[in-house]
Amino acid sequence: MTNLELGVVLFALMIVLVVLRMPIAIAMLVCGTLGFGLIAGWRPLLGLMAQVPYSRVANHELTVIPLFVLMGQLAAQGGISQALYRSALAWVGHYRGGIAMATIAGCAAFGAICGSSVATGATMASIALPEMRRYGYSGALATGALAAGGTLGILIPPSIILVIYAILTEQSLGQLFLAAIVPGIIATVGYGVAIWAYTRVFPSAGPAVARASWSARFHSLKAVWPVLAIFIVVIGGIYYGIFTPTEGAAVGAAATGVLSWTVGGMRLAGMKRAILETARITGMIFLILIGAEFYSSFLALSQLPQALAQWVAGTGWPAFAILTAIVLIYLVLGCLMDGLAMMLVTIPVFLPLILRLDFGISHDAVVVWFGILVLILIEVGQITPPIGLNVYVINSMAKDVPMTESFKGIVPFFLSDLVRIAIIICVPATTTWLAGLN
Amino acid sequence: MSHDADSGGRAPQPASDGGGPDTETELTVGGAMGALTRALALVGGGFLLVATAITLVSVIGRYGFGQPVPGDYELVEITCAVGVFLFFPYTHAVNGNITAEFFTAGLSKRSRLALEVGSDVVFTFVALVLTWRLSAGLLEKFATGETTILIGIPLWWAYSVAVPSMFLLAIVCLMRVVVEIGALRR
Repeated sequence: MTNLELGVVLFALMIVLVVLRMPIAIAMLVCGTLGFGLIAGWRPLLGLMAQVPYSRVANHELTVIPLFVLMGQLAAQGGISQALYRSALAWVGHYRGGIAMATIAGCAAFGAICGSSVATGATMASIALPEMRRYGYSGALATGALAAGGTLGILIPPSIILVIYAILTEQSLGQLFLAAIVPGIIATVGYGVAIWAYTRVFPSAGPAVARASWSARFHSLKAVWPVLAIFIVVIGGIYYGIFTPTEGAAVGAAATGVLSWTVGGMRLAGMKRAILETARITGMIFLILIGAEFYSSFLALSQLPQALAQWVAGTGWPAFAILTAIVLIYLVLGCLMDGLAMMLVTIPVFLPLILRLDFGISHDAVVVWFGILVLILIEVGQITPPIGLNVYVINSMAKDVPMTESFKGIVPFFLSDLVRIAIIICVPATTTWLAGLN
Repeated sequence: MSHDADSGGRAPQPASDGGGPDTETELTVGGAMGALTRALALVGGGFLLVATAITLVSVIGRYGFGQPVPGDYELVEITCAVGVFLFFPYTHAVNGNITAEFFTAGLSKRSRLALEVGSDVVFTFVALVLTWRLSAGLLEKFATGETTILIGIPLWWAYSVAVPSMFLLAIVCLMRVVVEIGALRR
């Protein structure tokens, strides 16, 4: 069997193992080590296995991950989200669908200190869901807005997914974070438009609430500025090289912890919950990173990604057609797979392919642009059936809303997502401009 | 897949307190082992807080006094690594590792349990092999006395946390196998 054939066979085996309920980290590790041993020999494999688990975990670049996870969990424990939501409500609550719009805005603001989508959606749901139901919002709109709004948590920096993409592709994290800001704004506005359109068609789904006075509006902004300050210091500091990503994450985690404690009313019990959640998530991510390290070492040895890239480039299809095909593959995969796993499995295969194509922008710009696209597709995967995780989490918090209602509520937001993906494909500058690439 | 890429789970639920199998095939390891892994996770969290503090002091030192903490990168790297290794047993004990549950969701509970036995048996084996390889790494680092570059922290210190953590992970996997087989027999 040639190395290439071996690559195909073990790739297929990995998929089978994943389908048969094996943790993705272990499926990647098993196939990666098997393949590496068969191609490079068993002795080198044993040597590699003595190093990789430790070197992957003790890697200064990767220390940013637990710290950003901790930052998000600390934010989720305090009452920060409540204040953000109140402020957004004061500004947009008097529009039709206004509470849902405020929920989206609150999620976007919360996403600026939290890099996880489930944490963002669930935290906001505990506040906004009872309100929307009390004001007679339909179950579909209420849960749909929360599930979709939650995905802003991974799009708006800091974003755990982007951290891992940056490490995977050896790209500057500061640039990737900046590149995600404009798409984050487009997403927030797009979701707002979706709510506006939806409540025009179904006015009873989201009635308006009383208009807040201008003084109340400006007063409410008091809660927003500490969050904005943390965001600017962390993201700006990383981008301008004032500190490394790890330092930025540590500063952010400490500042968020202080904010949660003083303003948000977090106490020791909340702190303990935040740490245990951080432990669970961090352990999960690093086990996958160890598995992915073996898997990508093996893939590189097998030359499978290069062969695929060569084959696709040889077909002579236009670059944008190939990109669109990849986007469609991600849309389907996102329905079936967890986002992080999807990214780790596909990036080593798709990125070399994308980099062979000519989009009229620089190599670095393509990596950043493609990364943001993948990130958005991961977001979409979190709200599409059958396994849109965010929808399940939010729905489980809304006892009286049937699951089908929640998935119906997703439709306007999903359409808005498709429009956003099209915009970003057609105008790469939406991502590269702020990151200073072209 | 039932777990989330970035947050790793169906967020707010008490996952660590359950003992035996619940209505799903999902199992969490409870009892003394559950308490032990939880305690270790909290200790690991303590290491993360220490890493955060070191980094903060270093940033303040660098901009305030022109003097960062010597070897801050190495210190943070090692404290974080130790923390992460302490997290591994907890993550699996509370069922935190992502699996693709969607494809087999239609199977009977027994079939799903059987598949999980298979996957946890493989996981046990993998964790044992990694324990073996990390011990080899530990012995080697101990023999060569390899240290970090700037401030000379011996690498075997960190390895000596990694090895028992990985072994504990293997035991957690094995306990899951036992619980799953028990549930199958019922």
